Amino acid sequence: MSNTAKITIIIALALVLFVADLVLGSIIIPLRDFYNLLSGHGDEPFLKTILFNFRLPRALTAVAAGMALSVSGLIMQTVFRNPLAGPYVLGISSGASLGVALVIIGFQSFGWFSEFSTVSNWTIITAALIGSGLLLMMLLIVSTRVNDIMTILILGILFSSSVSAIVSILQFFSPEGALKSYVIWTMGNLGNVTGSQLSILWGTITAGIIIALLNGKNLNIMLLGELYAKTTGVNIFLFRLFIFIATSLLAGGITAFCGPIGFIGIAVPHLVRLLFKTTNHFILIPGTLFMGAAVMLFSDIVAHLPGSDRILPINSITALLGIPIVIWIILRNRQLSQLF
Amino acid sequence: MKRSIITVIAAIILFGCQAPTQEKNQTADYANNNCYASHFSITENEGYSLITIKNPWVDAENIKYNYAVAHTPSAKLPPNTVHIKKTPTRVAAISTTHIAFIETIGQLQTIKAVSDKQYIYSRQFHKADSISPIAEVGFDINLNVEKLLQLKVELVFLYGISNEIEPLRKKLVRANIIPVMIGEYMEQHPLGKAEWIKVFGAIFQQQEIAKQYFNQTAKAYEKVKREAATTNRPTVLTGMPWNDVWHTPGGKSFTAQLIADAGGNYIFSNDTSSVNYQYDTEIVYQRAGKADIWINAGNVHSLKQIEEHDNRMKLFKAFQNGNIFNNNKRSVRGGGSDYMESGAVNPHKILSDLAHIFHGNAQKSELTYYKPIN
Repeated sequence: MSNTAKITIIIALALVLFVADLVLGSIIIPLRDFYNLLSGHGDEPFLKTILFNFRLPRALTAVAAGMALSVSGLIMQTVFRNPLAGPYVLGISSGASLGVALVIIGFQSFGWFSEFSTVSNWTIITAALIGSGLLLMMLLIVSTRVNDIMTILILGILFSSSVSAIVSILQFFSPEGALKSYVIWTMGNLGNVTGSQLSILWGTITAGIIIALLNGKNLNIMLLGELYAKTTGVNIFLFRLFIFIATSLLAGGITAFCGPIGFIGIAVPHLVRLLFKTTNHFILIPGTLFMGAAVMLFSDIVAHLPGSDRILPINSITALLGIPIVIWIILRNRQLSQLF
Repeated sequence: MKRSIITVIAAIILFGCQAPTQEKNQTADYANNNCYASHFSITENEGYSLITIKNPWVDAENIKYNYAVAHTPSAKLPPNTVHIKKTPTRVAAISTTHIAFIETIGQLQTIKAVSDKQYIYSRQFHKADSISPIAEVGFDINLNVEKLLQLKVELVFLYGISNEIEPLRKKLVRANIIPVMIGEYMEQHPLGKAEWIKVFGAIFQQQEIAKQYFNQTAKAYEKVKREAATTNRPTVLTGMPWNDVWHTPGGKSFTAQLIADAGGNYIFSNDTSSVNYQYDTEIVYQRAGKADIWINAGNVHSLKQIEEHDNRMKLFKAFQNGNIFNNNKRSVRGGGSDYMESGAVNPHKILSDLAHIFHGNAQKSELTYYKPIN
């Protein structure tokens, strides 16, 4: 099957899942009603509100999150030439967590169960952005002095660990209610982004995707090693800077708006590489975009347990779906490094 | 007819809780008068009161703590109980509700340590603190035991949310500090929560004050409840979503009981749990989008804050009609709320606020804990 056919199938799959995510939920919207609502003939204001104010923003966020995390995972795996790299290796989620922990634990009242913090959405988003931005900036400054990409990977992990330690201290001293609010934030969420936030989120990740695509050629060269890339005239420093910016826009944007969402960023690029059997980023990037969207939409449908009143945290679902994919890949390709 | 039945039932319940008759031994009657609380019992014995605290956290099964409070220094106390040989004069109150109980029985001066002062509302507490500073000793399972020792604290009122509290409790025992497990938050009836004042009364040897206070509270509560029992019951929604998930109190919870007793119709009254339920915001909109009144909306003070938190909240009828009331009228900058604090001993005042809100008198009457959100 040609790569074009494969991409078409993935896009079709993502579209079907997008519609499914819109109609499936605690109440299942029949397809006829769905069509009527879309064409403006539906006269059920209640269903209209559910569809346009609740489900559509959530599905659009799921698509954005799936795309952004998968593509940033792909470019991180290529840049670090490490199959276990993902969108968060640069410490983006730890940095964001610190920002959010400071805000939630600082704001929260001491109350039982129902008293959840009402810190505004924008405060959380700004705190997460500042947190991840600061950590990334530190890493960038250090990386100007370091040539070896593996050293940067290790520094990223070390920075993340020390930030996590600070978060642990905050948690240790936080009252019950604040702790719960924070823990719920770490479970990720797709349904919180509405209105102008949605446009900002999409703007951010579109910029990230464009930067990634513009660096497609360099990413392909990078697979042959940094030394080879240098000899072909790639400006390693500029390349890294662009990749770091793309990752912070993609993974940083999603983490700020939706919280840390795990495993999609690691699993989807592997799935796409196996499916397309190529290392060409001009094919891998579009493939990852739509596969990421499809997997995220599917996770969102599962998390909402159609027909029931209950919901599950999105992060658990992506992990439960992502981990089998990673295991399957490891078992099928005993030598993962050959894929790079 | 319905109303008279309610009155008769209320009278029967109240009669059981009435102050003891002259002929009876007062302490014995006090001890057997547990009308609403189910997580403790007090029995009076020769020379001591035996307090039994049962299952003081959500998943607790068959957990009991026995405390023998001596009435005289020479009293013989039974084995296998925690002995409280003398009335404590230096205590730590870990939850803000403990402070309310202790203050109500007039023993505020014994509090020498708390978790964090910025969450405490009590004016009397802060007055005492400004004269002689009260120490902070940490939260939940992370109490600073060395500091408690340094402060010469004799007894700590603790609460647990799981058996993770056990290591701390044992550590306190090793330090010769008496840990008393308070589980008032487990009570689902507002009067059950308030009845825990009897435990504090027994420990501080202030049984009479505690009993009288509780009887008055119960009477006042039942009176408001009788008056609010009308057929015109507005539908009521509670809470706020956090991360698109709406945590609503179960149909058998403290909040659900208050709403029902104040003459409201709680949207989620069919949920059989006593703890919280998690719902997608979409589901809450489906069920409660048309609810008449919205209470306990997080910790917001204005409609604008609600909108900033989640702009879909505008879709709710209660938002559009300006029928949102929050229980944070009395709150401190640190985030603490007196609803959570003295509300535990004043369920009748909470009920009265809600009855006014549900039956259209909120604008005219003076509310204690609630305020309209504009």
